[in-house]
Amino acid sequence: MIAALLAVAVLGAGADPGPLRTLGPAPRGEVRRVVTLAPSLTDVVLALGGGDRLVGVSRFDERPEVSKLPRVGGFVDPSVEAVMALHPDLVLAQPGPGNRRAVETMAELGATVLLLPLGTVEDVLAAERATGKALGRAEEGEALARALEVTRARVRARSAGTRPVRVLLVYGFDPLVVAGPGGFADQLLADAGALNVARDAASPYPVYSVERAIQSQPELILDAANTAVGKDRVRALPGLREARWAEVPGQALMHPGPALGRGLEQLFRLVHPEAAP
Amino acid sequence: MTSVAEPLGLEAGRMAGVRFTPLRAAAVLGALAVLVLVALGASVVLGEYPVHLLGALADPASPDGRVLFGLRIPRAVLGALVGAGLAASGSALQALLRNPLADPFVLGVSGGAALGATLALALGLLTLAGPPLFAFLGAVAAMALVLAAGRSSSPYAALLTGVVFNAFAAAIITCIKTLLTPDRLGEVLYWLAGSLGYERPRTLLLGTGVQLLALGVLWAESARLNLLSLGDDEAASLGVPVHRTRALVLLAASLSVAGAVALAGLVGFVGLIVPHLLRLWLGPDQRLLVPASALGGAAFLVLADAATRVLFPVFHSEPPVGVVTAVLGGPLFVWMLNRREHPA
Amino acid sequence: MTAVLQTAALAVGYGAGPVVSDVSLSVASGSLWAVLGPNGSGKSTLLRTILGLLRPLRGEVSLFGTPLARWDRRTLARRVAWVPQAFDLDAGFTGLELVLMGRAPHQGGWGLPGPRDLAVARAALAELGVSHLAGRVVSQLSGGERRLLLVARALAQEPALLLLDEPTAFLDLQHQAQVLDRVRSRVRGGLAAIAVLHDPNLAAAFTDSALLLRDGGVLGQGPSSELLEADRLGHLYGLGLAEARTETGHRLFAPRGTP
Repeated sequence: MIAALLAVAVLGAGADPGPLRTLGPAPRGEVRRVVTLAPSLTDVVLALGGGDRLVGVSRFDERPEVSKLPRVGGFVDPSVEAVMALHPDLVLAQPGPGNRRAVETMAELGATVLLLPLGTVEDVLAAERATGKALGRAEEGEALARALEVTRARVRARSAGTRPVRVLLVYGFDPLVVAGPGGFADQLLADAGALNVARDAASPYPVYSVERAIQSQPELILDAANTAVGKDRVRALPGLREARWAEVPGQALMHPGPALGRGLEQLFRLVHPEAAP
Repeated sequence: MTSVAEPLGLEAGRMAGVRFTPLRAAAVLGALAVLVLVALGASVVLGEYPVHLLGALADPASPDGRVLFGLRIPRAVLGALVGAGLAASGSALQALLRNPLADPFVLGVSGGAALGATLALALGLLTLAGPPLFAFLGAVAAMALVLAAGRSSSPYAALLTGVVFNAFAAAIITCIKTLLTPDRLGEVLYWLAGSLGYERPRTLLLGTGVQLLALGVLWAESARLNLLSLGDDEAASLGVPVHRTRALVLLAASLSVAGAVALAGLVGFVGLIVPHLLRLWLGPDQRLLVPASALGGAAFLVLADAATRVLFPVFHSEPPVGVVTAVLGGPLFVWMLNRREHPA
Repeated sequence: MTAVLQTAALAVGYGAGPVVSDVSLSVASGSLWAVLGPNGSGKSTLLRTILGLLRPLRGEVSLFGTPLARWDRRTLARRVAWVPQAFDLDAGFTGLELVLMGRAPHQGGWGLPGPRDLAVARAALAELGVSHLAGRVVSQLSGGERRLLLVARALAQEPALLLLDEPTAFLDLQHQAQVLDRVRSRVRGGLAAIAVLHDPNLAAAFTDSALLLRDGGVLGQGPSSELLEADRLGHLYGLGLAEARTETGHRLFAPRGTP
């Protein structure tokens, strides 16, 4: 029975966090004060030109544009009081079991909360559109989304004629965390003409078996990790050291958001360096 | 001890040597109750959101009012509940296990609760009752196991079963942790560290009912607990139904711990420090210690939780209250141990 | 007078095998019994079984005419009191609180002492000369002082049968005599008492009857004046004993050959 429970836990670890929806009362009038609870959502607001309306961000936000803003907490522990003290017209949050109670409490206290899952590319597109509408910048939101769709179409077209490259996208080496199936990274890899060797994993960001990685014989290993801890050891392994190693520049593939288009183009260049830029 | 003669014949004045009298109990518990009120008051005015108390009380629907009634008060009440349950259970268990350093988490109930909640979080259960309900179920399962073991004649059987079950639960939790994605992992770690959230009135009512029942049973058995702390055989020779009393106390303590952990996670040290400190002041009489620990624990946790809110500007995050109780409790514990070794 | 305690072919032990068997004893009220024997002969085990803390391996025990198994714990505690041999008293109770615990079988759920309870407890303390320990915390007392408190507690229970397991251990001569003297005085008032003693001289001086246990069986039982004499006691303890009489008529036993 324990095994069955564990299996469910593993599968469930990648379960759908919930649809895009609004909690709490509808915003009255123009939205002038916005609080975001995740850096990706800050990126969306900034890309929509709403940076001047931001009044509070999560403690993980590092963009210079928001460096002066008060921090309201993390992903699993946003502080309801800190958020409410800023009197927001709109709160943007990524839904998850940890902050569920907190965002529900915010809604009960009268804040408008927009829950925006950002798991897949489609989620990102929907989030950009919904945020645009909420901020009264629906056209900008639509434009952002369209830009990403156009980029995807273009990259897909160019990778259509190429041979699929076996790719492993690594987010961390110790433990080995990779891009698994079902997430935006997996979708972008497919767009770029790559075959995600970790597509048999159980969740979008699994801790992957090193031996399985070796057996899958990737041709290209993309390093999107924040730190190089453990990289040398993994790189020295047979089966992996023969692969082509490339570093993913920047954070574009870490944060689902407006930068995904740029990230996709970087990805394509890394996967198919032989194709004309 | 005063020298006032009570008309009911309970002459407090002649009772040099007897420390549990209705008068003294009323005085001590009254003082602690005042402490609880002070703590609740402090907790209600501290936080990120500047609440204007008078305005809030005048108009509960105003933003200030909603923060006061929707955030501060429920959280303070929760802190009082959890603190009371953990401390009173700790006191009873210290008497039952004849070990002043016993902790309510030694029963295995905490392991079961933690395992239940971890499973719920791992499954990403979105139902509101996910972690608390699973935690409670896990705690009850552990309780049943420990009680079944406790039926054997050795008083250590229950304790050993609890310790082993905790280890077992910890191993399963570690296994689950390694399988989780980083964001889920963060949620589990946060829950396990123990924190007070904002519960609905219905949940608080349920929690209050559970604690009142459990603590009521503990207090009712406190005289027999005193006798049990002398030893099973001596207690039996003095007329105590040893097995029944032990089972009742274990059951009530487990229920209280289960209720506390289900709502707040593993908040450590409260069940160890508060009863022990009170024992140093009041003596080992459980008739006084059980209710005193409940009040002391409530005040302690409410104040610790207020401290977490005060620390928010420093860390841009409220540390889990379990961290504050550990930081406060650790040095206190060492000091207490020192006192035992070298009584001044 | 009906027998306060009656055993028939009683065998006691901890389960592996009987430590002592075939004990058939009849203790009447107003009698003080000594139980003597070498270490490990089952003296404490016998007391525990009579008290109901251990199940008899064979045979029967009845108290005040009713079989042991039919007694309710609490009711039994009102009639039978026990002074245990070993105790692990780290609790921080005061002397008076400890002795008041002896009143527990007569009290309600909270154990709040009424005026009579206090009076009985204080009288017991005074009787043993330890009234000055009423306000002292037990964990700070010597072994002998704690033992006196335990005896006081048993007396406070106002039992009809008193079981004492080595009550004189750790006590100085004066207190040894005092304890047994007080018990004897109560026995004259109708109490029945059984005391496990390690010193045959005390047994000879204070008790009416004796039970001698050795090698898993009863070596002898009967009036102390007949049973306690040098040869039999020597056989009991496995060494040669010499007997003497003091000028007051008391008998004394000492190992032969010691100066």
